[in-house]
Amino acid sequence: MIIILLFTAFHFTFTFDSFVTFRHGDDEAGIYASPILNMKARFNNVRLYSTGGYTYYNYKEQEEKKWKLFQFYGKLYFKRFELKGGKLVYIPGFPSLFNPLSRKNMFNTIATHLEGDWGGFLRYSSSNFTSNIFIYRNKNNWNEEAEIQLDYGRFLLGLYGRNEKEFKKGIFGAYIGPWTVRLSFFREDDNNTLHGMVEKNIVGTIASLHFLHANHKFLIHLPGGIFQSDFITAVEFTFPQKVFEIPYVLLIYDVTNKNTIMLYDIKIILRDYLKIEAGATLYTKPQPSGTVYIGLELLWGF
Amino acid sequence: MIKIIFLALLLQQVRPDFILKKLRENTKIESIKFEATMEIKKGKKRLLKEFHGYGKGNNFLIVFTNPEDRDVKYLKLERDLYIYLPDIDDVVRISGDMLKQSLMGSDLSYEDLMEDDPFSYYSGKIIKDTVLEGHGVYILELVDTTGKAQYYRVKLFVDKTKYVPWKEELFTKSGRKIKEIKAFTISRFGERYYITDFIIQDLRMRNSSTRITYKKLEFDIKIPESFFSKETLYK
Repeated sequence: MIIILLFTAFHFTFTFDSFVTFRHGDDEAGIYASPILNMKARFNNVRLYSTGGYTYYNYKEQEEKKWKLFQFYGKLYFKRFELKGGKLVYIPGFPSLFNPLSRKNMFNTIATHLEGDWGGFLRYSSSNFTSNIFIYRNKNNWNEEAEIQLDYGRFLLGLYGRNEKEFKKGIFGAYIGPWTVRLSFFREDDNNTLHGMVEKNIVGTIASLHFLHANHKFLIHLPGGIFQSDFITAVEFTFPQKVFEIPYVLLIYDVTNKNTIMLYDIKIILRDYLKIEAGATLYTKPQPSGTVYIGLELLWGF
Repeated sequence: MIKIIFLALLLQQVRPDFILKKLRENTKIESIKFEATMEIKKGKKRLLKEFHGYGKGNNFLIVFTNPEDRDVKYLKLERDLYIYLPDIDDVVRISGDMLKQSLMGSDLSYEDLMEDDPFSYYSGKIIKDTVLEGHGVYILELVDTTGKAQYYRVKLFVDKTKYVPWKEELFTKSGRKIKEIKAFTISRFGERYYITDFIIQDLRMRNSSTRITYKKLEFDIKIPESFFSKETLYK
């Protein structure tokens, strides 16, 4: 109780996510539902963040119910250093849709939560230099990740290393001008992954072209589905001028499996305090299937 | 002789260069602290955003406080704009063509925020001396002579005594009017006049308008340099 009183500002919000998954020729749908509580607290330079709730999954005979803590960490900021500790998500390189280093789904909807690893994170940042060190525990092993990033005018360059079972290293760079171009290359043992993205603002619409190519299979997570590939291309449309109904369109062509995936998502803001997000993902292979999802976020907090 | 001097002064006062100079003096800010609301309307729908912030020289920091955008921060450092997104607890840099995007879906673009001295690119002429909704105004037509301005041509309805525009019309080089700004309130802060309530309409968007109302404004106060650093965004 004393610890709670020490925090001068608290903020709680409530989220409810649900997914219904349909597969062609299947007479039963998969159901996922999850009420989640998000908490933020602040006291001077210390911040406390937490996201957790109850998850329920049901498909045919399978049923799973459990309490889940997605993230729970404290953050201390002192001069140019930021120290985090707890269960937290760290995504090196560019946070993007198909970041090959993202072990979790990078698709940012209210219906998807990233689950963190227990560990500590230290960041140093100045106007044109950032360094990150992340030490975390995963499957009974301690792992270390380090990243440095340099900003110079319209250019950005980063180096990355991860010491897990194998040493993984990477380089990434970006040009942010009339066009935004991002490239990253990562190597682990003999596994190479190249990820590129070109982004352009065309009459109030941001069009992004992605490709991801590797000499090994990797997992791609989307709302309501996971697939495995070693070569994908995608085009993504976002509409930054929309405020009340914000649409999002993603078209993926999985070159390896000749699979086409389409995702349509829309966020609706009601009366300043309620965000409703709904969407659908459709797959053509291995059999036509789809997922519809809806999430609610109560923006009003206390 | 006195008459000649008086006439000369009068002519000097209404010269467009003089009006532009007075306008730039009113918009030039050493430092500023503000609290404001931004009301975005699209057709019958309405969204209210609240923010506070600081500005110093060419830099500013804006922190949103309304429920949807709580803790979203915008930091302008010279020609770069950084956004702190609390959902990912990280900072994203916006520059180049991305600055043409709308600020949170409003009628303002990031570029509108990035201009430090917007009237410095223009030279102009007075086309009329008239009355606009009860206010005596000079109608000034400005044309970009540097090739650097965001809007090629600007039509200003400048208050004759306060040297602040009650209305601005912004045009492209092809002559298309793309934005219109109307001031509702001009307030006095010492020797300075400043628009404290205005509406901006991006005419390329149907039935769209954004009204910004300052609830608190303080000028030329001491603001620590540390407020305008990337590190502030992570706090």
